[in-house]
Amino acid sequence: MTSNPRVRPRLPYWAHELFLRPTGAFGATVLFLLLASALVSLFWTPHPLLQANPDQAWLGPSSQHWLGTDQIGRDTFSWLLAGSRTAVLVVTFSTLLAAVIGTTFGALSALAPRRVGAPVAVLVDIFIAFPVLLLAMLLAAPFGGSIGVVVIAVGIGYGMNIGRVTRPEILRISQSDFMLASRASGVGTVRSILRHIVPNVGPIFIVQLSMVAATSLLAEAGLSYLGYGAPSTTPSWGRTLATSQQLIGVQPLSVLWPGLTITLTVLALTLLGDALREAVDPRLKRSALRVRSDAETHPALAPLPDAPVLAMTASEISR
Amino acid sequence: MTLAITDLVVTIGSRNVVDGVSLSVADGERLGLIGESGSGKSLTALAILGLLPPGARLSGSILLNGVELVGLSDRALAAIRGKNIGIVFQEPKTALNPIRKIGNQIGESLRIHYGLSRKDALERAVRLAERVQLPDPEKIVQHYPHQLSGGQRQRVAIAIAIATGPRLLIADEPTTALDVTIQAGIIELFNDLVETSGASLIFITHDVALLPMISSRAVVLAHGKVIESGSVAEIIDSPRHPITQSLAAAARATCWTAPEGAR
Amino acid sequence: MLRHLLGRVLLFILGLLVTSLVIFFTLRVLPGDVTQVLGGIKATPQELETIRLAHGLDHSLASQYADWLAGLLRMNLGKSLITSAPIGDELVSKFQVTLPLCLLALVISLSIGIPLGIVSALRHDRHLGAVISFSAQSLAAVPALWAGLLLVVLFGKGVGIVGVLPSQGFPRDGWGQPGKAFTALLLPALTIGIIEGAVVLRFVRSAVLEAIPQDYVRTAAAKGLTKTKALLLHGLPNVSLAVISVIALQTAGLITGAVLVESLFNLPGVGRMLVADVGNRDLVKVQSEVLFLTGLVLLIGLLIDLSHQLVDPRQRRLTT
Repeated sequence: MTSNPRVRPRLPYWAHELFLRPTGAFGATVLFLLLASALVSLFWTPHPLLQANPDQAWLGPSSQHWLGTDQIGRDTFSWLLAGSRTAVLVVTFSTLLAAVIGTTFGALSALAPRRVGAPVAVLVDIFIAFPVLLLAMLLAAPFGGSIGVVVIAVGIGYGMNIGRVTRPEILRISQSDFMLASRASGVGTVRSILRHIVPNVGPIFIVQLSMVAATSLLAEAGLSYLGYGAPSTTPSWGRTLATSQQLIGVQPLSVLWPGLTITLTVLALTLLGDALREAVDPRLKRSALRVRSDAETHPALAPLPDAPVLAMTASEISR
Repeated sequence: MTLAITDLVVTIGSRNVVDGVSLSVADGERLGLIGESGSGKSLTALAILGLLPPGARLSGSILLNGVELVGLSDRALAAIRGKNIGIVFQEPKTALNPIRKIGNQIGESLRIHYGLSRKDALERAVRLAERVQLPDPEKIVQHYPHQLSGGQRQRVAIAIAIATGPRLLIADEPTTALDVTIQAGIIELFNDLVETSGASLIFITHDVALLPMISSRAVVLAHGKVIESGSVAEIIDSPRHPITQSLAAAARATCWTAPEGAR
Repeated sequence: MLRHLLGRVLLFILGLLVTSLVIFFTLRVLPGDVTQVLGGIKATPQELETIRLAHGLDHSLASQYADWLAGLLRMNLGKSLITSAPIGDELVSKFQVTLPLCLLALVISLSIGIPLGIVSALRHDRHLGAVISFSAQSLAAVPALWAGLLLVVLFGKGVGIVGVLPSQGFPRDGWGQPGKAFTALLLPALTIGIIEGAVVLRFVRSAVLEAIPQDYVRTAAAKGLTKTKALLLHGLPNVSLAVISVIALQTAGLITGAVLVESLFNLPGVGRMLVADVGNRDLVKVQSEVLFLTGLVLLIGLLIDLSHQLVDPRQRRLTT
């Protein structure tokens, strides 16, 4: 059978949403560049990373040093390229940790028997009042700063928030009629969970994770600036941003590059999260009559404490 | 008040949810608009008022007493809404503003269209509450919606709709969300209000069995089109379209008896 | 309702307790031998012993915790491990810089976020709405430090293109020179305020978007209000309940921002003090400071929750 050249193969719905829309395309492209840079920088950078040429310090952009040099003569572009490695590490492990903690606490607080579930829920609500930065500082005080500190603080802090956000959904599904029907017809508990809860909570979960990814980079920048992130010999975008402050007087342009890199990557991850949400949202929910609200998908909104939830938990307990 | 709708088309996205509907309501007439969910009946009502959801497009003609409503600005339509046309929606639980008192909400259209003072509007609201048979009107106007039952909230919604004495009343499935025991009372109320005021009524429902209680003529909608129209007796006893037939069969199954004279 | 109030206050106290436990655990228990941490690697056993005795580290962990709590109840936050200066006094004096900074940032973020959020929701189907929304999204992706540095590059005295605002330090006599003090806080507050403003904007926008399809807004329009008026008069007040929560949400972000910008702009506030103390491993100070800051977040959360109770008639118990 000869194929009709005018008929293009149709992509699955999610792939179309994710890659063909501008937001998703941008996000995916940047993510790809990030991973590519990380990989490439393992083998090659325009200049050796640790090669410090003090006599070449504080240079502006040139054909030799595409983005200039820092205060001890290291090539900025190389450092930014290699900084992607740290970024990948931070994003990956923070997200993983947040996923694990979020799942555990979300499921525990929603599905465990009342005596266990309720206190856990209260615990989670209290924990999210803890600014992640303070948590990181608490860890850094006795242990000193490192990427590990960043990952753990971000993972725990935002992981708890994921737990809080997914809990009502898990509760709702576990108490819903089709869950009861499924159990009544003899399907085991674990299978019920997998079949009903996962597909319904999944989308929210994935979107939250994308926000954790985005915010973890911002957290790394802040923490590295204060000295609790990667040590000075490890290339990291946050550190480069921090050191650029010293160059303000001499090379104001140097402030631009690390910040731009971080912002673009965070933006890309955010947009990817948005596109993910569109892609994963069941088609049935889509209608022109429904106006979309995006409170769920913004990175900066995710980890912040939500006071009324505390009230709700209290009244649930007192019942 | 006469209403003449011609070739009404409402498009949402790429679908014509209302696809060339034409119907008319004479002065003082009671028309039943019948159809299943998704047939486009509610959207037709919203189209008359200019309250279609954002992103919906409208074409065709809607003549209210000869005045063309299609194409009017929102401001112009707002002047007609609540004054010449009143509407009662399906869901009493969400139709009222939760943080305003009942009296305030009933009297609001009087303040908007006639510039009544708060005091005067509140007085009228008490009398309207009485008219729709709400218990203890003086006190109830000081309550908040969440303190009332579903049936009571629907009566409030009716009071809101008739506050300015509109000449056209639209009831969009007003009893669907209520208990069966309360439905009859609400329909009684509608009949009473419309008889005494002489206003025209469009009663939208999916339950054919209700038609004989409230209207003499009916139009049947399906997939956004008018598939049948005629007197209620015709539609129930001798439906022509297959969809009408199945709707009517359901009505007949509920022990429907001959209508008590032409209404 | 009183019962609910009490429950909420109890939750607050519980929150403080749990927080103090977490802090104590992380600082004292996790590191293992704290004395070693304080003394450093090269400390001799005698030095370690001195440290241990001087700071009551020879007592059991439980009693150390109890001592700390007892002190807190008496409003005594303890003494610095390194300078032995009372922590409470220093905290109060540094707070005089941090509090105005945070308040100013809050005002800026609300002034930007609320009006623009409403506009972007009302015009969500037009270009304006999309532009505002995207700008807010991009702005929220900006690291606070970069924003600060850029502002310095633009407006910083001596360095910036339009060098009019001080970018480092705070007048020595503090608020004795209110004008100077204020201008010193301007750039830092702008840094935090603009980014938090983007967050507020997204939140307000989605709250208003949720109000648009509400049935009671439709009823209001059916009464004779234009669609916009119906939304503003009926939808917004309901939404404003949610918007009040935004202020609570802001607290954690403001504190984080304060810590960062105080370091960037060299302001003698609580944040910079905390950073220094962490660097010095002054665990006692860090303990009390973190508890103080987190307690602040919990307190604001409590206040917002309570005001919610008062404002929403659904929660008030009305007697007729």
